[in-house]
Amino acid sequence: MDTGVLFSTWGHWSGESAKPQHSQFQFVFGGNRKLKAFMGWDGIIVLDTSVDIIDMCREYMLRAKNESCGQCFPCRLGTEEMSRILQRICDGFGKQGDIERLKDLAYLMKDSSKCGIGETTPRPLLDALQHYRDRFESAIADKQRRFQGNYLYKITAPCTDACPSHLDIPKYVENIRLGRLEESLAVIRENCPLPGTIGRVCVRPCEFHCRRTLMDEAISIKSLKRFVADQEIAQQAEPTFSPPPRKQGRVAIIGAGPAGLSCAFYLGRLGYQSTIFEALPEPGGMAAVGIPDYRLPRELLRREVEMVEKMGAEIRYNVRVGQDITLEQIKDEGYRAVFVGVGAHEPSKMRCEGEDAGYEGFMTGVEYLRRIAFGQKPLQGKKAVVVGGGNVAMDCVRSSLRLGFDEVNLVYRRTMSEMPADPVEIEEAQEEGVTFNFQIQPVRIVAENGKVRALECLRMQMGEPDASGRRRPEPINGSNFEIECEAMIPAIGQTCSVDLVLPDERGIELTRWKTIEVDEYTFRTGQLRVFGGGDCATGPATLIEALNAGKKGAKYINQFLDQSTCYSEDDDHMEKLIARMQVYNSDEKLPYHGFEKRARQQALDPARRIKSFAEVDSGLTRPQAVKEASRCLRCYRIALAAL
Amino acid sequence: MDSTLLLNGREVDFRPGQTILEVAEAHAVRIPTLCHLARTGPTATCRICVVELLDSDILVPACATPANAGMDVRTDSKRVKTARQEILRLLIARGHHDCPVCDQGGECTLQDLVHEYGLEHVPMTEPPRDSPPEYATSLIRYWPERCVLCYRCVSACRDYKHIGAIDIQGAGNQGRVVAVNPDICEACGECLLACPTGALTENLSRFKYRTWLADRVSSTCPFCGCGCQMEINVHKNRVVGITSHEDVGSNQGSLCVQGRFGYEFIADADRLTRPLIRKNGVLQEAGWEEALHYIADHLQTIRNDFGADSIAGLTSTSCTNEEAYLFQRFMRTAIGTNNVDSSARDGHWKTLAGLKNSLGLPGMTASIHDLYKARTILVAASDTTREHPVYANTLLEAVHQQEARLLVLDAESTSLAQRAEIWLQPQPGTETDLVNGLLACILEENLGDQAFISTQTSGLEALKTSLAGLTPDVVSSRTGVPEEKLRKAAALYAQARPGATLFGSEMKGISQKTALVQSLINLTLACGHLGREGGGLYPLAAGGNAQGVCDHGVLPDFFPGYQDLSRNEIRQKFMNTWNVNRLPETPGLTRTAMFEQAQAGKLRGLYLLGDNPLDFDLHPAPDPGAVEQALRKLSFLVVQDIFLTETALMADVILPGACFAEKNGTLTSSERLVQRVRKALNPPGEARDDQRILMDLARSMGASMDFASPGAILEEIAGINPLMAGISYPRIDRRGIAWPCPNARHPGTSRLYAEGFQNTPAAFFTGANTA
Repeated sequence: MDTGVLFSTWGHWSGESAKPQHSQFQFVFGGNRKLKAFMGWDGIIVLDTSVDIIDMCREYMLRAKNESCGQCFPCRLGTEEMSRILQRICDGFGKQGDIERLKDLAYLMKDSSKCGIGETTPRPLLDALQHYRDRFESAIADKQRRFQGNYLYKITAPCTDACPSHLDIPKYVENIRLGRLEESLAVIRENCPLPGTIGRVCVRPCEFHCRRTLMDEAISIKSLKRFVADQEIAQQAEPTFSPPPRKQGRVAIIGAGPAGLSCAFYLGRLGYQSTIFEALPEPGGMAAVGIPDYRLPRELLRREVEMVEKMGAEIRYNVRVGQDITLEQIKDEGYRAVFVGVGAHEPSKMRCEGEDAGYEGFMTGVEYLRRIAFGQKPLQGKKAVVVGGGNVAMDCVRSSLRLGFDEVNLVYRRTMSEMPADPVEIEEAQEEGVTFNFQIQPVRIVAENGKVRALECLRMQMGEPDASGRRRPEPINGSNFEIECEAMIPAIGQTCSVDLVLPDERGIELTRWKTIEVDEYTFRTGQLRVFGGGDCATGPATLIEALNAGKKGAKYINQFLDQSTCYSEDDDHMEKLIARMQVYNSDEKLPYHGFEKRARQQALDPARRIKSFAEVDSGLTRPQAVKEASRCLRCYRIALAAL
Repeated sequence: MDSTLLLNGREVDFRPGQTILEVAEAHAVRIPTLCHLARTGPTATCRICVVELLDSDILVPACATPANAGMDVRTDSKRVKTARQEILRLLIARGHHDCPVCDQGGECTLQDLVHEYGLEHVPMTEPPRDSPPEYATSLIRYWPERCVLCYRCVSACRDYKHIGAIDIQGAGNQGRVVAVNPDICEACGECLLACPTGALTENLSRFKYRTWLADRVSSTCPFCGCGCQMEINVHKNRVVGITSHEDVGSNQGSLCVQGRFGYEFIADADRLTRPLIRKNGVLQEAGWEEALHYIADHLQTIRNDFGADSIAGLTSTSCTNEEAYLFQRFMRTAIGTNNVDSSARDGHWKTLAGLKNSLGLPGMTASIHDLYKARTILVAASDTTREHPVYANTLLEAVHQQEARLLVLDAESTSLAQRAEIWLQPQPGTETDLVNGLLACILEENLGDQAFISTQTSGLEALKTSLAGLTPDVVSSRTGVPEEKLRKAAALYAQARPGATLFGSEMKGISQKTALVQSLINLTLACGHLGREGGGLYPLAAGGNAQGVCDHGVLPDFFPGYQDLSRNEIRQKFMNTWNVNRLPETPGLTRTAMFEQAQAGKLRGLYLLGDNPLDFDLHPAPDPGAVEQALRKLSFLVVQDIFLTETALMADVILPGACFAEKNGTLTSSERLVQRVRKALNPPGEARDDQRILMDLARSMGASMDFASPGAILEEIAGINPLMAGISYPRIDRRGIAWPCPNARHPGTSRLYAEGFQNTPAAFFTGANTA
């Protein structure tokens, strides 16, 4: 197969395991521009003979110099000196000895710098000096000015890359270390409009891609984010945004959930007013009615929503788009664009006998949590069974304890290690006294007089690996047994129902999962002025993904309204390209071990906390946060693409 | 546990958690550093301390790398040396280091490293600036072209002082130290101390001297009770600067603006240089013999006509221990009266008296560094940041780095109140009620240390009775502090053990100082916060030597060492030592009573050693007019001082004394450390060392009080004051000793009651045992 790769050193610095397939390197940017070469933390890839590797090195080092934070001497001083030499060579004034000097400086910087920029930036330069030495030599001898190429540049980090919204995590963590809390929060808000919320309930992919794990334990990134958000509240400070010039026209947003709120927030920062149509009487969508207060206090969420409103959003509650008003009617009201940010509120089916019988004592997890969120006690009794292994199931069991159920059983088909729920959630549920039942499949809801009495289950075992190599759980015949309960709550997933919101919209394609089709970069639907994102485009996904969708939606709505056209921007392509390049390498060997455990938040005593919906975790103290922030290794990586 | 590694091929032990740098230091292997600041987390900017690890493709900074078992570390391999050289070369090239005119020349880490690594012929690219940029304080000048951006100044300001006035702004080489919060800069000069190059220099006056030409005299800062250790830099009989070292003294190199920059008064042209005698209503210069005889004649006349008790003496709180001792001996023997007191009367003595009554010893019960071990720190009615800056540093370090919990009880907002976890803000005047409320809450809910209460204290039942009715709701409505806050504070203070309690002696605006102190003592006792590392009562002395002045008998009712003057055997001991036949038995007048008696015409002669009662900022008086009237009514006023103060202007004779830098002696800090002050220069003109003045005056009065040296005075003190028995000049030459120090082998007692209150239980104060 022709991979198009002419030359590559990619992967040799951090070991073979980090090496993506060569076929992955071919990449096309908007306007059908092909990737010609790539320079980054793990070497060089050349895909086109027209690339001038020397000029590319110059550009790369210039970027590195501008990126160098100045907190360590070799990088601060080395990038400047190397950049000066490379510029000199490209200007036709290269000197004898320049190559050796570059090499010495590159080694110094690689060997003794403080953070990822210093350690990884010299790598592709050293590769170039080794493999293209003759070209450097002739460039110095020829004394010709070189032609400047066309490059795209981006800085990333393993954590940043893993985050769906690409927060600049090393930067805001460093600001905490340096005591610059306001700046830290400002950095977070660049890519996350709900820091206090995300700081509490994010599924934190960043932490699972934290390079510090290879030394001792991952940084408590989520808790740090919460810390700065809480500090703003504690200081009673209002965030300072310099409002941009107000732009013409309003944007309509469907759904005041994370995606819609995020879209409104970033539209506000771009100068647009927006109107959010929300079916519920409460803002926050799934964050409000799907996540219990002990994890995410409503007050906090409401405060963050208020901030979105201050940015120029108006929320109309109790308006069900598709029923009370149609998309056409909204557009007719003069909104210049629409963002659809509807959530996934429809429960999935368990495929278990009796789930549609309407028994008293049966309620889906989504419905259960929503009613609790509105202050009800939706189910009565002393014994409850929850089916599922994700965070919603955890929310259901833990809420049940708080509602006064004495015996709460969790039933899950697979084993603990396969549970998709956050390990912290599992641990806290165990502390609170939930009984976990693994490898069990519900088959029938046992009812008496129309009331749930028990759940009939089958025991499961892991079967032979299937074609995909994955072992699937299989029922053990005849292992049927009953778990007594008065309340039965399935929490095995949700689906979308965007068809209810958009009953017959022309131009908007729906998938068979009842989600809308949007462009992967611009989040635009098939209809000119309609954009969409969040669960209604992806199916049930994470809060941070929804926030990213809203942010991107705002970006491209702005582009569309400014330029009457919509095209994907280079920066977003770079994001995608970088993600292919293996920013995090879990096999990397660090030169030594660390001994600093990650910071842990104080939690209420389990016996006390199940008595109410009061927040369980109390957040990091300032000394804890500063210490935790100082554990960050600042694994920035610089990427340069030649087009 | 197997914790060894190879350090340059030698197997060495280490403690898990140590960095490679710490391991190397412990084994006397030098690794050069530039940005390293010992008490903060590693900044790790300079990379001068890089070392090589076998099997690693990068070098690692020794300051930030935890030692791992089995590591093979090379601190001086060729690769390491080359890296260090290269970093230094880049640093020099990027700056403009004009060593010949730099104030820091000869005392610059960068200069030393360049010398050590043998760099030559490095061209410099950064042009010098025409005008210096603004800095956080005008006392310091910032030179960007000499700045290596090591972050030491920023860390020192943020992590040592917890201020954060400066930061580095601008990325990469554009970085500059910028005063991001100039308003909160305290001009303490911690940044100046931290700077490893000449990028920060003192800006009082430049080109005064070269660093190596000055004499450096180790001494103790006299301005407050912190007892900071410092060096007086003297050139040609003039103080040209104050320096300090991180490894010397409880202050660990920190000083405040006064300590570091407040030395210019020493060379002030207005210093008194000759004795002055009022003749025909006008102060006229006189010779020493004349002045001393003039004073002796007048005091003797008053004594003959009206009795010894018509004469009184007052000192300030900044005289040395030796002067304090001589002064009270002079008053008690040469004059024959116990009318001797100091300006500590309404300040520090109030707190000491409370401690003495309840616990036995009048002093701080622990040391400043014990604060690092405190789990809770209660600061009551003290603007510690201003009154005792180094204590504020230390406690904030405990809060920020050791996660101690900070409670502040103050009617006024202070810098610490703003940083406290709980700030209890009672209505002014209800501070004592609030403390009693906390105590009542702790006793009611049994949050205290029951074992400590039952074995170490007495008077609990009476205390409970006296607190009856002080329920949280009552206290809350009386003090204005919300009930919930009060309960939370009580639980925190009682349960996060051990707890330290700091209280100022200024207690501005509080009338019942003694009552407040007694309540704070009760609170501490109820929680058992005594005798253990991290717990204790911290009275913060206002005035540089308030503790020492009280220790050495400048009190109308105690001999030195708080010995009872009514007891015959004690009086006999002093008579023997002082070589006199009688000593006055009845307590003398307190400072307050002296002014009353003077106003009433009963006190006729007053001798002021450094005290300036008309400085009402320093010594607030309920009726300032009355004090002035009292002074006017005196028939004879002697003032011994270094400036012509408001009070001196009313004097009949003025004697020019010496300031702290012009004499030898000792001071006792708030933490009871007896430390040296040393003579660094001569007093101006004919001004004299105060000890000599006192001895000469005694001789003029026909009394004998001669000592060959201040050390000899301390020897006499050691012989007669059991608290000081083991303290002598040779023993405190390098570092101070905390009293009680019963013998010459005893290391001193930095923590009181560590053995508990075995014989005399600590007494809860209930109003019956009033001071």
